[in-house]
Amino acid sequence: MENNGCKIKVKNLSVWYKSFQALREVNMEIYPQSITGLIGPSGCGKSTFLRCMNRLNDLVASFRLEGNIDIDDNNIYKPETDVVMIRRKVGMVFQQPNPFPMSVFDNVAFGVREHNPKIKKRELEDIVIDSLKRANLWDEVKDKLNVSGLSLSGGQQQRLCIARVLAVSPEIILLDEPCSALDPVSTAKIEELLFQLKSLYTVLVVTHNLGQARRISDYLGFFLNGNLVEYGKAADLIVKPSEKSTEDYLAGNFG
Amino acid sequence: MELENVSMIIPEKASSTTGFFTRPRKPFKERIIEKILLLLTILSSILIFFVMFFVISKAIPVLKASGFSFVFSGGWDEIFSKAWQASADQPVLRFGALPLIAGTVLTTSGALVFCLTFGLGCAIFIEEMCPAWLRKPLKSTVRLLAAVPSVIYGLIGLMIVVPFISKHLISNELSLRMIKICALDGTSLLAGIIVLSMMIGPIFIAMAGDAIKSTPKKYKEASLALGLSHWRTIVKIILPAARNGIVAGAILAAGRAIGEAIALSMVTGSVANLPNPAHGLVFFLEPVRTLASTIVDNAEGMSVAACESALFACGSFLLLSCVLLSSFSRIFSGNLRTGGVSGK
Amino acid sequence: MLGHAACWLSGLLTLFLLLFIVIFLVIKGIHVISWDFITTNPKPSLDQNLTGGIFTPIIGTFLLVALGTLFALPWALATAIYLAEYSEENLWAGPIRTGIDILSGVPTIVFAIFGLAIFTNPHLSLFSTMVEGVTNAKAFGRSFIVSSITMAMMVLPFIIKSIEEAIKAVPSAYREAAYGMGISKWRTIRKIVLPSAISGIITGVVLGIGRIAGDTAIVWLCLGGSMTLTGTQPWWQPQNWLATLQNTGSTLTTYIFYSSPAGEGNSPDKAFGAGLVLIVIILALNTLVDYWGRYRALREE
Repeated sequence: MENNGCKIKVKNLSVWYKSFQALREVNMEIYPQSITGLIGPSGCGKSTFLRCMNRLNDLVASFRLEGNIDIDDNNIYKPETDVVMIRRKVGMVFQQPNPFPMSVFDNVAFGVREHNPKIKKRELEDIVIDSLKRANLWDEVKDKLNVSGLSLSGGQQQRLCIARVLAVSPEIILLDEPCSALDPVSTAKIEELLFQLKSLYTVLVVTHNLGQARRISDYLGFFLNGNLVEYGKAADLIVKPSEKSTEDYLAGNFG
Repeated sequence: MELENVSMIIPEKASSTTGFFTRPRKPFKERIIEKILLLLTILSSILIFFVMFFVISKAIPVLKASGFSFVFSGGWDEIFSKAWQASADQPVLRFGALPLIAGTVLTTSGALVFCLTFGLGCAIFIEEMCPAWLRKPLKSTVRLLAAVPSVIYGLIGLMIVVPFISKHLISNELSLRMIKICALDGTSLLAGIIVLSMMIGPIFIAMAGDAIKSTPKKYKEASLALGLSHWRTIVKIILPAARNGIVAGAILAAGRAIGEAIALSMVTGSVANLPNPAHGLVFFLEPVRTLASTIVDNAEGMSVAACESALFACGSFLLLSCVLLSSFSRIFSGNLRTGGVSGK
Repeated sequence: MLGHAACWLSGLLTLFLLLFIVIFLVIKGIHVISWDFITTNPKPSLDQNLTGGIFTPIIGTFLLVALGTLFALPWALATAIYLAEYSEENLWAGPIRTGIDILSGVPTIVFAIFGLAIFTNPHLSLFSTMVEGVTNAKAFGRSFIVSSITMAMMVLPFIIKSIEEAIKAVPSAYREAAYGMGISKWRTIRKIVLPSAISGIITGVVLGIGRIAGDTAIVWLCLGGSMTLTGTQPWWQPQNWLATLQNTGSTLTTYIFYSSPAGEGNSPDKAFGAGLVLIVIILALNTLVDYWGRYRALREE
């Protein structure tokens, strides 16, 4: 079993929703402590791909998958796998910020409490504060930990969702167009946050925003019609794409 | 629907001859129609309020004479027959409805317990757990069951539940032991609770199911993505968010249960008996009567003014409790979406 | 996992219970049903075979439904139209609407004693006929007309709410287009809003009919329990119609109550038969409404 240090290995992944094929034979190797950007026009399959990583597509009744996804050399689609454990390892941040209708503190503490019901109050507080700090939100909420998470601004809510994910100590973080609902200032803050996170986590970001992809990605994968057209180091791909369609997309000719 | 027909109904001449910038008064015909509609609306509201007023005013003779003992003392059957036979200038006005009130409370609470356990479990099952092909037929069946008339549930209760209780839960020696207190023949509190649960169950399941279904999907997704199991997500996120709708459903079901007269009159027995908890589990096997079923059973007594007033007193209690419950339910269903969720 | 299993258990238990009820009713009732059953009058008899059919109860149900709807609909329509279309400027609308909402939860038995008590008043005696042999003031009070009026009052809040919702569901774009062309409010309502809302209105009325057909309390108290129509016979001749309506009778619901062991108990099997017929009628009404709603929704697309 070859292991060249990759965190996630995707082999011949094909996905169908009923009879519609959303992904065709995708092969990808994702490396730890890096940011991998997934770009492509609407409907190309990049969100579907992302959701395969934490098996969130299982919720869709018509979902069918062929191929392998190995995380740390363990196939996550084996029948015996515990989906719940996978989702603790692989955290997700959604396009629309979705904090729970609870206080800021409870939002971050929620996952921690569930995974560790006997945790002591002190320890829990430490984790919550640490996560809020790492999500660059602590300064803005430190004196209002008890207000409802829904009362924060859009950008703050999204950072709250990130803090919520960080609190349960995942190894991989998936972000599905995390800034598309935010203003430019909040977007900048989150991009800065992602830079900080990459030293500790493996980050996958789906983005519609080519500028963002250029700014933050170490690796880039370009999807088109369910095919992974091109994948490689971001610097290489942007300067000299090998495929014509990649070049066209990056130039803004379609998408 | 097409709007082309609109052009055919524009009146030929303008109804107002005022200038271009002055505000035209509403045409005469319009105002008449509006007034007529208002009148009819007020009349139908008056009608409805008149019912309330009538019921309460008819109940006042007995309520005034009995005072609090209406609620706290018993002996309904004896008093009622005495009142029926009394002469018109010496009416019997002190009634005690404690067994009836207890009967109403007990049967309704029992049925609510069923709802909040099995009913809620069923609603969760339908919305969250059952296979997709089963969901729609099951939901339609539940909704159709909610439309079945109560007399049919009474019939089922009378033909299945009561004989079952009588044959399997009441032994001969038990009846002999209890003979001084009441006759145990199967019509009982237990039968009432069972029949009532069958009746209000579907209503509650439908409403709770709707509340669960309408919780925003994003909460469920976020919770699952955090690594919570489906069940924990249900308990910690979905149910708290659906809390208001579930409570509204429970209140609605309770209102229906309190007012049920016919089905309970068929299965709970014809004795105004106050079951004694000291009898242990036999408590459930004793006959009871509720406020509503009493009205049905004693309806022939309406020709005597005192009895009529007593029955209206029962009716007033029913009326007021249902009005209160309706008001509470409006408070809860007003905020259907914003349930309370705590992280603890 | 325990909770998960408990929910599965509840769900399956409920499913089986439902199926059981349905199957039981069908089994018990079906062998009683025949053309004779539906077309013969019930006869009092201790012998099961001679107890006749359910013809007059069916007529009774039909009469009540028709009259009750007839009495309730105009009021309900007028009130709903007013509340939905005219009441923005009026401060009374809020309390009235709240009152109607709250009162739609009043149990039918309360309406039943109300009806029974108020119509025994001799001033209202034209609605019913005198009971033989009773000489005091309470000689009147039970008839089809009385029951229909009481039913109408019972079902009024419910129908008002349904129609109001149907009217409110009409897109305001239709109204604005009409007003913009200078069409008066009432004409807009009559020619545009009401036709658009017609399916919702029909749904409300049909559901109200279901309520009337299924109610027992009001019928039992206000119609009496006589098995046959007690007006001048033969009741179907037009000159006798008024007399029929002023007299007592029974409906499917009271027939069930009466034939079961709770009433005279002469024919429990027939009770199941009648119950089956009643359920079929009500389920047919509800299913009709469902499909009508879906059909209209598809047509709109």
